Amino acid sequence: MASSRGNAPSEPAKMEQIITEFLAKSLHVILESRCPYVSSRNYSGDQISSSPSPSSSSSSSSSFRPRDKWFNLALRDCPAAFENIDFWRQSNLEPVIVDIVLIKRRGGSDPLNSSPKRGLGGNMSGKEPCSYGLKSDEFGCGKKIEKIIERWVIQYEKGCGGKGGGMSGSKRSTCTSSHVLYKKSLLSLRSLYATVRLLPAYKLFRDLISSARIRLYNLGHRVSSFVEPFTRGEEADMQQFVFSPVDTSCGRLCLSVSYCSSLLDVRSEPSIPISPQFIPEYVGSPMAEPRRWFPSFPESQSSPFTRAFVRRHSWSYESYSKSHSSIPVSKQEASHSKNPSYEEYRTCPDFPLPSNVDSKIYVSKQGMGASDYQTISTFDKLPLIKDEHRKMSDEKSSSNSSSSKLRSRSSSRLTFWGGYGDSEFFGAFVLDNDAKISLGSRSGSSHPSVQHGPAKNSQVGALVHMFQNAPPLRQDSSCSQQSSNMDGHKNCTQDSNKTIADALNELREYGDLKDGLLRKSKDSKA
Amino acid sequence: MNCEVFQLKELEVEHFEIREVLRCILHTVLFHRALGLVRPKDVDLELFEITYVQCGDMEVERKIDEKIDQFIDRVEKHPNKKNQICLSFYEVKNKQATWFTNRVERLYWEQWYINLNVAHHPKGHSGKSHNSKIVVDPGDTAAEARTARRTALEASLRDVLFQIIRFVNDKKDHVPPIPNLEGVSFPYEIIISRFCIWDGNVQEDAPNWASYNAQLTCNDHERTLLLLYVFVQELK
Repeated sequence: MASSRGNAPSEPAKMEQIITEFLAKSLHVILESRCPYVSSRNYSGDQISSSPSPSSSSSSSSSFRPRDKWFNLALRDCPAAFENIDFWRQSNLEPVIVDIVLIKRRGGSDPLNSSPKRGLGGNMSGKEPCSYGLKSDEFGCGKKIEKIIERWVIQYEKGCGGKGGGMSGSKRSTCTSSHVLYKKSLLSLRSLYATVRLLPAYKLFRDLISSARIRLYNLGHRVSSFVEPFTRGEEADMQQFVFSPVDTSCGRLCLSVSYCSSLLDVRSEPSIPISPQFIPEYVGSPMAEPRRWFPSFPESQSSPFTRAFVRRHSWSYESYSKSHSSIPVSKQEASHSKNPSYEEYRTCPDFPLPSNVDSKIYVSKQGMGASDYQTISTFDKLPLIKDEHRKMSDEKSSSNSSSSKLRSRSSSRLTFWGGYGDSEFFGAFVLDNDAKISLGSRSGSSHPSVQHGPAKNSQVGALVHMFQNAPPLRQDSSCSQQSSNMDGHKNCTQDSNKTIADALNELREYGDLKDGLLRKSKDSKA
Repeated sequence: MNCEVFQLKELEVEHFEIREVLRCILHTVLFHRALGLVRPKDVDLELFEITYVQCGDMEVERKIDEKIDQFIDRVEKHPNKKNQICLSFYEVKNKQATWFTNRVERLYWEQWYINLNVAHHPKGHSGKSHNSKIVVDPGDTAAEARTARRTALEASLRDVLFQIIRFVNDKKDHVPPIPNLEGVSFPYEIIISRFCIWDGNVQEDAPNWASYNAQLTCNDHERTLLLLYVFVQELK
């Protein structure tokens, strides 16, 4: 065959290229509808994109890639096809054999570990048998059952006698030959494209790429030029469809498929739905009990702090549980130490303090641990009260134990209530009778005082702070106690068994002591 | 040039199944004849577990839907008759104008006959048999019968699609050279026959019927004359 011109490819070269591209395109058509991997460029199985009408061909041609124009068939991206065709580009005389393998688990594997859309790229081309294009860890730990459900064979049989349209010695006939070959190859590929969608394996493919459910099977593929023939048993289950060969001047292109027609049992196997579900009330969500950690917190007294607190999400819940340092909390949270979740909240370092929180006041929780303090705000009257209690503390009986320190703290708080008669404080303490009991038994009980108002809690906290910082009534023994108290409440953890009754007793003692001192001072003046 | 005629297997369909079945068959044939650059469009049937392929040309889709509407109207007007749709591909040849012919002549090189036997159902009762002479079985028996019929129709439709694929593969020489166009590359025509001119055994007699059918799909003037003739015959 004479080449037509120097620049144009010769007829044999054209035919060679047509044959090579036919092999590549056939592989692409097959794997595109059997390989569950979908690239980001692809559209869905029910693609809506349409080819342009002939009237608008110029504007739409740009959407087609160069390889789409081969055989006038634009296909979805299929990396598996591109990876496997290089071998046959070098030698198109080797048959392309594509095995579509059904892989099923045999119990003991976690179906959630399967990823039907992952990694089903076939092995590289080669003559030696290779693994079935599926990583071993992608289908769980269980054993797998593999079965070839389709075997496609695409090959160019070289040999004389083909009744293609080309005739030797004629320039026009050689051109016709390649054109005829191209036309017939194009028709064959159209048929192939329709056929792959009519075979049973296509339904499995569609089930796999469906994102609605996790299937207990997967599809793999193997591309090679040599395979072992089917056994008799396997062949008995197979049906065959042979496409009409495309004759060329030197051979013919053959395409056939052996497929398993009975795959209904596979599709009927149970699957796991993975449809996403919204959980509106997840743990830590504002919708799920926004005041869960503040059961007694009144709605009207919400502060910016608590509003921010309510908006915390589950991630912040975890950070709460990790931190155990003392965290400043607003006065409005003072009584929630009984709630275990409250402790988690308290460990969060990110709480913004409201503007009305002037200082930090610490109250104890379960025995006055050093980290179990919370802050409450101070009031204008507190300095005055603090001074008076400082005087009272000078006459306090000495006690070096931590219990006395604790008693001084708690009793000073209660003393404040019992001794000064301030209506505001009195009112707070009067209303908080239950709170007195609950303060004494800090482990496991709630703090109903908060239910009666956060301001009262802040007053109590202020008193406690004042008593902690006040100098001892007795210089010799109480100074050390105060200094130790001023050291950051390190000894607060030592006495955990004080009750409110003890605190009241101490308060009465201080009250009596104070009265005595006042009388003495009056008498001395007098 | 020989005109290849392909008679597809007759299908027994119900009224509500006509559209899906015809769409599937017509688009499958046209996909095999839209030899220009196309981006195939996979379409899943709603009534059957079959995926067929469209060439993606919107004009083709519109024309097919239009013809299907006409077919459905024809079926409703003429129930209890076998109905046929003929999809023809032709080439346009210039010819010297005469008294009864245009300058343009169509040479048909391929014809596909789609044969449907539509069970008669009045409008609004799709899916159920409304023949008053037949007692509808109550309960599960009727549902099982419908399921069996649906399964059989799906298998038959799949057979028809494979039939198309085999025809396309077996006969390739008669296809004209592919023009450099996108989408549908050959002009085509869809004709709905109002009466049955197929007796089911015409594969061997196809050339005669083909020529007769080719006459039916000739130019407008001749078509008008022939329709008048047929109308007169029917009146007789």
